[in-house]
Amino acid sequence: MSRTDGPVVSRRGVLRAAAGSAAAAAGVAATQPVAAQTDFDGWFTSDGRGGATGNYDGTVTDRTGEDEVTVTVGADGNGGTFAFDPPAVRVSPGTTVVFEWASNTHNVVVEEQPDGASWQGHETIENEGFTLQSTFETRGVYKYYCNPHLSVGMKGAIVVGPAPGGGGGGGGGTSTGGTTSPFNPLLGYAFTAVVAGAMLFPILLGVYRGGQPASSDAGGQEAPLERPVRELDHDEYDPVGTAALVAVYFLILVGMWVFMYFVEFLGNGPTIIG
Amino acid sequence: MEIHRFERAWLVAALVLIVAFVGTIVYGAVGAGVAMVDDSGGTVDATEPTTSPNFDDPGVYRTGDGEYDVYVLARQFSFAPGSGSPITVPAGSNVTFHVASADVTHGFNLVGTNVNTMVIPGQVSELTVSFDDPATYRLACHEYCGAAHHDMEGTVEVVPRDQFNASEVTDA
Repeated sequence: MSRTDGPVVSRRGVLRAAAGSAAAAAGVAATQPVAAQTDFDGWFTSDGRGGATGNYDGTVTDRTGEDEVTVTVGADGNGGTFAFDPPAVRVSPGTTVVFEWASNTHNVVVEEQPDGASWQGHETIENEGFTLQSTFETRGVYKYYCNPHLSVGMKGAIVVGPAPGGGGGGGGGTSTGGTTSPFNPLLGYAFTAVVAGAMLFPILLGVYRGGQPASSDAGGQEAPLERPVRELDHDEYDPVGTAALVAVYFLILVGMWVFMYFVEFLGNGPTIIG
Repeated sequence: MEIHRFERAWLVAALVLIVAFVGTIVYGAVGAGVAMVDDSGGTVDATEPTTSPNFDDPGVYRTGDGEYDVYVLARQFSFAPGSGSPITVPAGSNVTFHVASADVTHGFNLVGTNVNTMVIPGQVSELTVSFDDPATYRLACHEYCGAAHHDMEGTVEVVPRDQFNASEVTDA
């Protein structure tokens, strides 16, 4: 995990510096400050830690100017009650964010925060009804997640500070989710063809052979049976080779059983004794 | 019916093998003392196990000299205790795990050992394990329980007796 505090801050600094001219030049963009687009350096995709965040649609909910903002912990999403709602929120410096647990077994672990910030999150796993209040003073991007549900994408972000013009953190908002299928459909067709071919092969072969004259017809009649060189009684024949094979199988079975039961099972650390 | 003497020999050998298989399992149960997990743990409220007296505060409890009860609540996707904080017990003790599920069917497996049970909602899985030596065991859920099943794991730490902080446990 590479910490990207520096680049984030510097990029934002650049944006803020450029905001004057940019906002003046592109005043159109500045008219839509509510839904700033940002990809948080891939934090909400599976490129970040854990799984992709399904309930993040690329929108940063703008709650700037409010004293208190609520984030629901364990809201519906990500295949269960494994979502922060809203996943990404923009607040003004000094805002108190109230995290409200709406379902069980969640925590808030800080992944990344601006230099100089000391947000602790809440690493203890808490249940429904718990609330965590955190006041965010330092400007920048705070990324956090829920440890038990990181792999299903229970991740969040808090942006402290006003939207930088209309640029909204550098665009790139199209890369949300980012679940392009690695599966090539051509492989699927090839596989289907191979399976179908393998299944049809006996039928095709039968059709092919059916068109050929049968070998017995060619000769007109069957060849006479050859007489045995020597005849043996049932008890006179000793299948020594088969007996040896059975003996080898027997030894393998015994050896595997002894290994499995006495070494793998009984010799394997603590055992349930009651 | 006439049976060839070779066939007779390997029929007898196969029967001896079956008797030996059954014999080793009987030895395991009687001689080595391997027990099965049964329904002796009783039941809890399937949807709210925390309302049951034993699961209102899961954790490690001392029940006697070298005897501990560990109550573990399994839920999507953690063991409490176990996942956030390790389950710590002293070496040379008999530990009885009582495991209940708060949502779906989970598994409870000390990885690499025979300590292994299913955790079915409403049913307490009770299993007693003797920990002789200090060791750290990983705890895994081995019954598919949802999207982050693969993340559901924890730790059981068996610490030397003198390092075990007795104040962490309550006498039951």
